[in-house]
Amino acid sequence: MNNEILVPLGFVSEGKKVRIVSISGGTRLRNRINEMGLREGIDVIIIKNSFGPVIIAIGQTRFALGRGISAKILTESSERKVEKWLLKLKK
Amino acid sequence: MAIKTKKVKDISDGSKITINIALAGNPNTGKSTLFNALTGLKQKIGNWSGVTVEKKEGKRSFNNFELSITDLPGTYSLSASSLDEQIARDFIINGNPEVVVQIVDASNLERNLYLTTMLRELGARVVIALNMMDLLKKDGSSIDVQKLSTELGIPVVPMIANKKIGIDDLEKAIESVYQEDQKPMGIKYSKEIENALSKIQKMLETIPSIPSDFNLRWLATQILQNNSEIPTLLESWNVKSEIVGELTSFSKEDYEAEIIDSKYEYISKVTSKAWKKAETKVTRSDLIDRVVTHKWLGIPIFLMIMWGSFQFVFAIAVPFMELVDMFFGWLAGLLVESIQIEWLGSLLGDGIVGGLGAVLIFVPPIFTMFFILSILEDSGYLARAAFVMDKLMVKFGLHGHSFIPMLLGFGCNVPAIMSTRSLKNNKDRMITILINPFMSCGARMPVFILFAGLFFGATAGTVIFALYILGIVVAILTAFLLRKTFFKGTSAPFIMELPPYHSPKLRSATVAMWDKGKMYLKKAGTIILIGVVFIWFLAAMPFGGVEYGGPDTWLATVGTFFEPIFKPLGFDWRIVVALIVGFVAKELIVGSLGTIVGGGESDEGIKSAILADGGFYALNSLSLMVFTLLYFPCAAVVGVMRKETGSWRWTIFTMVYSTVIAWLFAFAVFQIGSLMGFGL
Repeated sequence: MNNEILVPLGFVSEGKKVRIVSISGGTRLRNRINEMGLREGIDVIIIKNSFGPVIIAIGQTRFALGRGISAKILTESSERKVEKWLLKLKK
Repeated sequence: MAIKTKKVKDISDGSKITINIALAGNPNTGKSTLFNALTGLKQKIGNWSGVTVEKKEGKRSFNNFELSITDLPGTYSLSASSLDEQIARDFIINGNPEVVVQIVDASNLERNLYLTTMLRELGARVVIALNMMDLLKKDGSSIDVQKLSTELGIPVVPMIANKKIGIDDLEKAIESVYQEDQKPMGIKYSKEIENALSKIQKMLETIPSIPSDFNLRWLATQILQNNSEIPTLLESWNVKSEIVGELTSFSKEDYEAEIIDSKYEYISKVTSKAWKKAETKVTRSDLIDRVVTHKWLGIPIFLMIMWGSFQFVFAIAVPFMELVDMFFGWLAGLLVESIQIEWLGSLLGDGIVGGLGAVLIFVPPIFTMFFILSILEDSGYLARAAFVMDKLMVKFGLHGHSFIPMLLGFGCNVPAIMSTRSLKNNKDRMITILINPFMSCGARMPVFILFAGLFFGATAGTVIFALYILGIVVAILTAFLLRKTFFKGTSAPFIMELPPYHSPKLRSATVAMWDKGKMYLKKAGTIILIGVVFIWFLAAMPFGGVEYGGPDTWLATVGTFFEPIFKPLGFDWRIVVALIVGFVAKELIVGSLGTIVGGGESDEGIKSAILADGGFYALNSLSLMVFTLLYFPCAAVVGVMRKETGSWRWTIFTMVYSTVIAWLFAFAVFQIGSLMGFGL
């Protein structure tokens, strides 16, 4: 991709705000996750990440994500904003 | 296609026009609340995905219309990746709803509108009930309802369903949508997709066997997205396999993702002018979650809540039970003494009052149990329990989501098994269904409370708690075995929405308690009544000269025949008979024991009768409780298992397996206990 470091959701520390950049692990899985509102380009806050599933916040919604799936969601620090179109170009 | 052109009816004769409505929406949007508000039907307010387990229908009248409303399962999508989604989608296609009311959580606009795009793609005429408008301000967000409605091209009705605000406007919107067609939704996909769609659609138009009102554009998008059900559907219309092949050759792996993206792009275009998003903030609910789901505290908190619940059930229910027991003991004695026709007195006193009394005595604890379960559900804790158990469940081949049906099994296994429909992976679902009978339902509680109460005194609550835990342990170990043998593979990824905590409403918990508890009363009046009369008959036969319930009766003949199998568990023939009858319904275990030993010769209730009997003592009652916990699912569960697994083989497997497991555990309890000197 680029020199931006992508961190799997499962490794982001609690309280941080990150942006979802990509969801790997098969199109089917990605599509199902997308349909629940977890999509590339959106910001999430990590509420809890210490044991068992990760809890994330998107707006007023809270999701619990198992360890396996949290490893497949790659994020970047959302403080430095990268436009979605730019990401598409880099693909 | 589903959405039929409206029937124009002459209403001059005063009859009402029926409008078929489907109520759709994401989980946790207040769908059941709106359904209740519309229909006045007493129904449960759920807090986690999958609470709408059965198809629920209700009616509402206004002006010249009668709304016939069907409550669909709560889903995020209609892509049929779970049985719930499939049920919802199929109802939109085949159930001919004339208007679909979609309830939308105003604070989650974007994600909720995704379902709207799917509904409209299917051709449904949609009205949006924009719920929880009162929470927007608190979140620092706002929605321009008028603008949103204009952009979407469909009516949007702001509502606060739990305060019944907005119902009148919803009625008006339904009426207007019913009377005029909606413009098609303005989503344009990429050129490539649109080209492919129109080619497919042209091909489909040439196939005469496709029903003329079927939505071809929707069918085309499904073909393009490689929906695995489509070939079967086409074959059911006798479409030649070459043509099916040609049609499906258009599909590409990326198309589905592209279509999803386009829908979200459309949504963000629509909402950009009408919606001010709230900042994501850490809330009080999150702080509670950090404690409740804590690494070390999570499981102890869960166990404490459960233990506390059982203590509560016991403490609340026991005084009431004693009253009921005294009443039935008195009634039985009175009947036997005052009715001159001996056999009739015995039937009414020994049989019906003795047996039914033994069952009805457990109304207080069972109702309390349903009350607590519904409080746990409404408050949002159930989803957290699933979260906490996820780590453990993963080790045994399932994940946290499967734990919710398990906990619901503490009420009744039938709805618990149906609630597995929200699971996305079929193997996960099968395992979750097959282990559910080990979760101790309310009908088994009478046996526990009766015997633990009689023989374990102050530790009764703890003994019962331990039995429930044993049920969980056996269920989880069974899941592990099934995963390692017949259902190899990994479980679906764990994604679960955690609804915000609500303070539970006394009213809705009471309604839920009554709703579920009345099933128990109904059973008492039907199958259990028949069962106890049957037992009485066997216990009194052959007529003349035999002592009621004594060793010379037909009942004893049956019981003694099977007794050798159960001797090593410490059961005499009377317990054996009760367990056999318990195959039908577990309430019948205490019911039959009541009929057999709780005879009406005195004004004692079943408790004193059992204590006076001598055939029951601490160790064999413990092994009886363990056996009752684990053995044979009742007839109703067998039925629902067959239906939900679609397999007699697996249903029979569970029947045999659970009974063998029960025998082994009860055997171990009784034999080890005897060795340790706890026998008689």
